[in-house]
Amino acid sequence: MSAVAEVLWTGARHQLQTMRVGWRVAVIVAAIQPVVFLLITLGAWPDGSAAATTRSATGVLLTAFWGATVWGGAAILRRERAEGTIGALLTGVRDPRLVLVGKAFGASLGSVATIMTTIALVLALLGRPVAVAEPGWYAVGLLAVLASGTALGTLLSCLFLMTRHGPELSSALMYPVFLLAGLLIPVDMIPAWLRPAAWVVSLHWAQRFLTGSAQGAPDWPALGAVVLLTVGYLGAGIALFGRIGRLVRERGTVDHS
Amino acid sequence: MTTADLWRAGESVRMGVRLYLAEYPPRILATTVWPRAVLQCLFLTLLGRVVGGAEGARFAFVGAAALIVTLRTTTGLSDMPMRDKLYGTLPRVHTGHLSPIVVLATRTVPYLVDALVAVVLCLLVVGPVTGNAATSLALAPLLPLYAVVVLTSAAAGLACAALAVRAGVDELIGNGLSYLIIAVGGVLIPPGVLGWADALGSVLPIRHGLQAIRAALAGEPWLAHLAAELGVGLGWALLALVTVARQTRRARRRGDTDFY
Amino acid sequence: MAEPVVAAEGVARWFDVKRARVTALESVSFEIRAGEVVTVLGTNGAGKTTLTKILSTLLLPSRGTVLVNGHDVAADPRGARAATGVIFGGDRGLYTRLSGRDNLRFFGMLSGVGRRDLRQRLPGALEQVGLAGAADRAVETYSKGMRQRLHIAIGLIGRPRVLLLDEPTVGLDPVEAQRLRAAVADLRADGAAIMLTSHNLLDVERLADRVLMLRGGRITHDLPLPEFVRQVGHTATVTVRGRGRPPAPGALPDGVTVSEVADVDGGWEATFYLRGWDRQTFDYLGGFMADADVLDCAVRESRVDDAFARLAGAVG
Repeated sequence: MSAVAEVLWTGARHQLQTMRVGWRVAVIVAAIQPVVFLLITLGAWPDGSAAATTRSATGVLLTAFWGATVWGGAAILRRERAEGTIGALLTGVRDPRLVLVGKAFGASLGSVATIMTTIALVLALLGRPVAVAEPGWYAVGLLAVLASGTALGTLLSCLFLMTRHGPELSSALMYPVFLLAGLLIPVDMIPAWLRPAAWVVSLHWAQRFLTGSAQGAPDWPALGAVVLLTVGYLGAGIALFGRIGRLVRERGTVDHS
Repeated sequence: MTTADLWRAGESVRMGVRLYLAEYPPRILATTVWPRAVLQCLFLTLLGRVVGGAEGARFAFVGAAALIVTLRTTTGLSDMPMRDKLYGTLPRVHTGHLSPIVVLATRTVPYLVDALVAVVLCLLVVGPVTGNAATSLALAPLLPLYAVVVLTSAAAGLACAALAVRAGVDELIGNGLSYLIIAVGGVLIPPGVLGWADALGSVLPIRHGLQAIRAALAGEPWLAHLAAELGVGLGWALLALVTVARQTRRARRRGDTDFY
Repeated sequence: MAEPVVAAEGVARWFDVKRARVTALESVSFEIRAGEVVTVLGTNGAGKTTLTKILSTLLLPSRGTVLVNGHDVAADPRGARAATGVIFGGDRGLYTRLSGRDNLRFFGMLSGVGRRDLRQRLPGALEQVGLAGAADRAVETYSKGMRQRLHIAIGLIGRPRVLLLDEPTVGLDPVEAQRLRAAVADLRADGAAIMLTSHNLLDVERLADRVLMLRGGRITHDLPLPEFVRQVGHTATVTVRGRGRPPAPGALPDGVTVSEVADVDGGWEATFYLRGWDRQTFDYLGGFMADADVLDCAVRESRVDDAFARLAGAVG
């Protein structure tokens, strides 16, 4: 394994272990939340058709994933600061940016796995079938979601470190995306002048690609948009983290422990 | 209760307000806490429209305006006792001249006020934005019923917070209860659709209060629903009282209140 | 002699942990009188914190009674609390996002001070601990010393007859620690009965009238400070270093013992333990050094830490 991959994987594994210890938040956002949204939205298509269920399940998956990202990946650096370990992260020999990206990946991986398991269990219990016409492309779409969550986690983690009110910000950031990204609420229900806001949310495009793949018509431009936005988030996150590292050293705002 | 006791309770309310404003300064209330409440209400109302069209949206709007009080009650209050544990101030609270349950109860005051502010904001913003302005107007005189829902859900929040503080599962219990209320509280899914949800919801706060609000809105009798909501709230308040009293006694018996 | 303000009689405390009984205190009896500072010493796990918790009404004794100002801590905790002030050491125990004044006002109310008294005492209490100028700043901006002084103000605002100080100088710089000791000495002069637990033996030397030594939950020694120090068995240690051949210690006079003369860095070092200073001792040490090529001679008075180390290690 190359040195870079090793640092990334170590960061990811550490984050997964952290999630296992701090399972409470994961249970709320990755288990309870999708169950409740599924119960509500499945009521919208009482015919129980596989296509409607798949559309619903995909929307719930992405909605819950966004919740998990703002409460999980986005809280990585804030928790490091609360634990007093951020000093070691910033002054380590390994590139702290790689460690952060690795941790964000671990958070996304854990969240996606938990949410998908929860959704599968609920659908099985309710006896609702799903239908995915292009499972390969659907899986590619899920990988894109995973990458996008990693990039978003990196970026938001840095943003939330700049304020002591990270939890309130996390809480406030959840609903604009729930509302505007077209995950559960169709974009055409939103006023026309607000619709462009969805264009900068990668999960909006991921939803289009996943739904298209499930129906047998993958939306390639949507996948391209996911990739472009993901690269943009990651670049912005890494740049911001570098700036934080400099600020911390200039102001001496982080202790060793 | 003596004048001195009243003064002490007043001091505790004052401290509660100071702690609340330190945790949620006005700029944070204005830029994150209240917008989140409005956006959640908007989201649930639109989800109601997805599920049930215009009538579904109206149904969801009335429910969501009640549900958002849980942000400050069942969820918001869950970390209040935990804060004393984190600050290391529990020993002084436990050995003070004011009962710990009174300290806890008086500190809820800013949360209750904030919850009502959130309801008013939702009526002002979400109603007109989602085409439910008339419903907002009709709901305005029913604010006292929303206030009852604030009180009963706060009682449940306090009970859960007290139960969670030892195990450190405040986030899980507080949020779990809020999501449970979304699912079975008659917020989006009308009563009578799922039997188990009705049974579970009947012992949770908000459900009966919402039925009272919906009945009043429809010009039907609502006092029985209100009485049921008050009964549920009283039950939760008693649970909170018993839990805190038991924990205080247990802490003295076992010495497991952190000394610092 | 003054009546005891704190009287503990046969206090025991045990905890049932996973079917096993762990005894933290056993048959502990002692008294503290007005104007007296009693220091509780013991290694970690000796039972100091358990004892402090019982006195502060945070923990019930399993057996025995503790009267604080005549109130039983188990049966009448409110009465006991009204007479007790507790000063914690360390950074915690404060609402850090609020100001020092807010903290003092709230904890003053909790400690039973009435409305009018609290209003009158607040400015003086803040002044007394040197926090008047910082009273309206958030505690999170305070230094450790300032936080500790705020703890003192909180512990004193109720004008308690009994003060419990638990590691009050932990984390303080020497100047702050000395300031705190001066404050405690003033309280003793005002007639407070004070129980102090501390690992800082300078606190003990400067403040204690009596020392309670706890070991395994039992009081092994309850002695006035000078007598406690004498438990070490000698009053001074003399260390002589030299080069060349070490002289033989020869016949030691009464009251002098010597450790082995050891080789140190190409020279030697001899350590003598003296029970007291007298003519014979001076003559002996003078003779010993006259026969040797002496580089250095250091005299160190026996202190609390010597006694503590000896008793903590030896008393079983």
